Amino acid sequence: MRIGQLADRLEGAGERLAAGAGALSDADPGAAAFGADQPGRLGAVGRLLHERWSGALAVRAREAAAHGARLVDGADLLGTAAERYRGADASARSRHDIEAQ
Amino acid sequence: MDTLAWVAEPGRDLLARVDAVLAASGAPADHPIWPLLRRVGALPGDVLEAYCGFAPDRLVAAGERVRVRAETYAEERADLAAAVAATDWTGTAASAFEQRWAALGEHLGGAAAPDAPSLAGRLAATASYVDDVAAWMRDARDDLAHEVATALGSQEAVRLRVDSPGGNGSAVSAATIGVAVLAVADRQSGAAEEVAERWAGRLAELPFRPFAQSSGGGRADGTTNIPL
Repeated sequence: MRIGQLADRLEGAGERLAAGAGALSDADPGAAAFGADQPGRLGAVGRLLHERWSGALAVRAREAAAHGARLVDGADLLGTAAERYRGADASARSRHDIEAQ
Repeated sequence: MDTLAWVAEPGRDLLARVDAVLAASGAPADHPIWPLLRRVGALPGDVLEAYCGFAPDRLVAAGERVRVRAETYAEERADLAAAVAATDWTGTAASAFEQRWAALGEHLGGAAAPDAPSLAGRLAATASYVDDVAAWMRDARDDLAHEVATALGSQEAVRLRVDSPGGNGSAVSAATIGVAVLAVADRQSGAAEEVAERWAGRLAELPFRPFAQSSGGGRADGTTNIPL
């Protein structure tokens, strides 16, 4: 596989990861499903359980967005490296052609 | 349909009487229902309604959606690892990238296992947490169903039907049934708090480590070889 192709794969993965981050909150059935709307300690327990869940989903979304950006950065680094090598290769060929004349 | 669903209807009728008698007549001053009422902060009828409203299947479905996403992360990592391995590239830049990829791949995670210190692992832990909450809800419903079924066949339930509402016999009977129901709410609230506590660490944010634990540079051999 060529470096440019690897960079594309990395960039695609990063974009998918970041795009999916927002969808994680869709998995929350709501506080009432945890009993958060009940009176007394029943409701307090429901709110505690739901806060753990919704808080965890928010953290997972943040992690996914951050790591998606890291993968895209990694793709950029690969692209830059490939460009640099291409430049070095082109100037080496050019020198070789001049010396051969 | 679980046991609580079977006893819910007659249970509602019984606990409505219990609540009404407790509200109208109270209970003896030294009755154990008082500390339970203070700790639970709700009447026996409220407990039944709350537990009837639990929907563990909805939580399991929510967890499954998150678990599928965790598996997607692991698959994505496997695909990328195969792409990195298939790139024939050596030299200093290749070695630097290999180290970077090791850290990126390790953080993404190779398996959707709840104990794995990776993003896939944290997602799996999040799914397992809500599975645990759903399991607690089922246990709590079974626990309450047992107490309500027992109360429905008790002498106290008969007395609540035949005694005059303002009588002392009714007050003691209502308090006795109330204790059985509120004790479920008390111990099950404690069990739920333990579930929340047990998972707290595994749901926390996972910091990214720029240098992977398992990274090993194998592409820096002094020559540069690159497919452009």
